[in-house]
Amino acid sequence: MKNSILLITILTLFSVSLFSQKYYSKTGEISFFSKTPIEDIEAVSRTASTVVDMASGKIQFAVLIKSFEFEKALMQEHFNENYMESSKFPKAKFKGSIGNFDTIDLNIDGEYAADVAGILELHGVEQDITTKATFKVTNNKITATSQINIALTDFNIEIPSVVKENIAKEIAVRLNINYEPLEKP
Amino acid sequence: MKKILFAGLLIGIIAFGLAYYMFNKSPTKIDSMASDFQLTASTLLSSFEDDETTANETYLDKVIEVTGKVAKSVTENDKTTIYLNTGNALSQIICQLEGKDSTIKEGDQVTMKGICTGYLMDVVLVRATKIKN
Repeated sequence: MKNSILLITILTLFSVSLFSQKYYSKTGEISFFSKTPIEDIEAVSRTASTVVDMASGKIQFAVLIKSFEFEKALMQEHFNENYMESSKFPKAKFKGSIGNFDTIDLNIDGEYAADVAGILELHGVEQDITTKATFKVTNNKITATSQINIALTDFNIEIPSVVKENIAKEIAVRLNINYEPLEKP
Repeated sequence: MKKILFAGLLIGIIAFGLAYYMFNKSPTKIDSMASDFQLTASTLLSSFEDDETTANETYLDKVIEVTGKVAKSVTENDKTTIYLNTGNALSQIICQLEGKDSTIKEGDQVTMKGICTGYLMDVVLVRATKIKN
């Protein structure tokens, strides 16, 4: 049901194309870092789907939890099975808007700072988040980057006490998206 | 007595070595994994479109061989992504390769092997590799 809603939303986004300034990517890069004195953990997904409408400032993301790849197989297994329960909660989603979208001029190449706010759904929990992002416009393409710190307790992600020292309580999530215009010529 | 000590020590060393190996093991290479399913791109997509929950139970974390026509090949930061046609203009099978592969061209009929991570608008396979043209 939730997915049909996602699909309908995306279909609608695709269908209104004439006056739109919509940009998308299906290969968005989302990575996260956990840094503790004991070990550094890093994982990356390169298959996030995202759409941004520069005419209204609306922005959406979806990423599959299982698409995050780790350096060590055991870390990936624990991440999926114990912490994120990715079979039960296979996706993370973000739906929000760019507060100052009208200051981003797509006709002038350059770097624009943006304030993004919205709802992040992760591990079955929804939380309001706000973050700063950079939109770099070059030749009708947009590269968006951002970093968000996520506290595990906000999303009911429990880390067993044995490995508590190995995993940071706040995880730095980084995004790097190369948006392409949605319109087909 | 000495023998027992020595045997104990040996077992200890082996156990430690094994544990260390398991801990640092990198994810298994896709080439050496047997395929669980062999499908066409359109069959795989439609099973997710029809019933995502069941499809998740069937395909998630499984090694899948998907055959289809290459819609697009994109290389970003030395990683290639192959989009397979499904007959649906909006949804494709996205195969994320571990490295760069410029031999796969748009329009090629290929079979890709990868691990299924689920369905957003597209079905996503990671750690994918081409197994035949």
